[in-house]
Amino acid sequence: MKQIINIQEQYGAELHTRQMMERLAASLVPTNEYLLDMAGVAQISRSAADELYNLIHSDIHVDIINLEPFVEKMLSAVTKGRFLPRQHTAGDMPIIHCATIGSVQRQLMAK
Amino acid sequence: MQNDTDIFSLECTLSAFFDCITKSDLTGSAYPYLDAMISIFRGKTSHGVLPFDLDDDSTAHVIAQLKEHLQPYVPERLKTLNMPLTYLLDELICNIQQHAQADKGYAYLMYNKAAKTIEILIADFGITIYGSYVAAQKHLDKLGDSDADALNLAQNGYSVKNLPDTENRGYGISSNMKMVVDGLKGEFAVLSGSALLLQMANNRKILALPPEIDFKGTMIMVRIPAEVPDGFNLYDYMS
Repeated sequence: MKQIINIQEQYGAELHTRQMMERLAASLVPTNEYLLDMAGVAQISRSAADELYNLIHSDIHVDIINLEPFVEKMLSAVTKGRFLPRQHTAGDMPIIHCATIGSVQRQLMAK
Repeated sequence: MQNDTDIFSLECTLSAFFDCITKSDLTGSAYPYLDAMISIFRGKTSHGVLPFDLDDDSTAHVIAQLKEHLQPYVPERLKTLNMPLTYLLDELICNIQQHAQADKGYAYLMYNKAAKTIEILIADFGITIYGSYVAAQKHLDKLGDSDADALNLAQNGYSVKNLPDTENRGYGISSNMKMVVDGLKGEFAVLSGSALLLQMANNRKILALPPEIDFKGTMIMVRIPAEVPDGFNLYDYMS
């Protein structure tokens, strides 16, 4: 029988840190099966979602249910991030060497 | 010639900041830099800069506190701002946790009533972005030997992560800048070591600063309109 864990009750409606998910993972027993109920978790940081991905794909049997739209999108984004090569599309920025504070000030105002 | 709205711009804030730090004793400490920025902001608000530990509870608490600062001013707009704002704060604070090797972070957020903008400052006294690449031994072939080169790599999405089981996504600065500037029509600046990155709609450059300026840490300054622009979709900036 799967043990249900209500994530909002235990960790709140916003999951901010990687460490928070690491603590969750450390609290789980590999021989058990878990159902993470994400109802009410409206926001998750990219780092926390990345760590949740690790948990879902670990040796511990974990399923997740009731994903809010944002959390679902974030998990999807980190999943893609694992497999797609990194794109460096921004290009180089011009580097301007300023010898004095005065030249910094001028550069700040120059468009 | 500046117009009325220019005086609230991030360029003007930074200009005042450099005016201020030229009058400070900068030897051996990063605090005068933060003090200078605080003194500029303090003229506009009663909120102070919030120091925070880098553990879970402190991080969640500081993000909640920062958003509380907005509640009296933009309660309705906060509904639409909440997600992009939380995403942004999460990313900037997670960068400190993961890369800065700092003991604490410093956060500040205020609503600028006159300009109808939100101004955010997230800072640490850590190893700088250049130091993060060196510590992680990442992209040393591209890194060059300056803070300006490191900022250039970071804004172009080169990852400093050295964790075996994480996505290889870069510093987070690149995607955050894109969301702030392209999506929210805001402004983004990073001071790290002796370099300053500016990313605005019409001003995009990295300044290698004079040798007397060397901030032992990283300070990110963001300015966004309090109103989320029509057509903005956070999901466009999450991939």
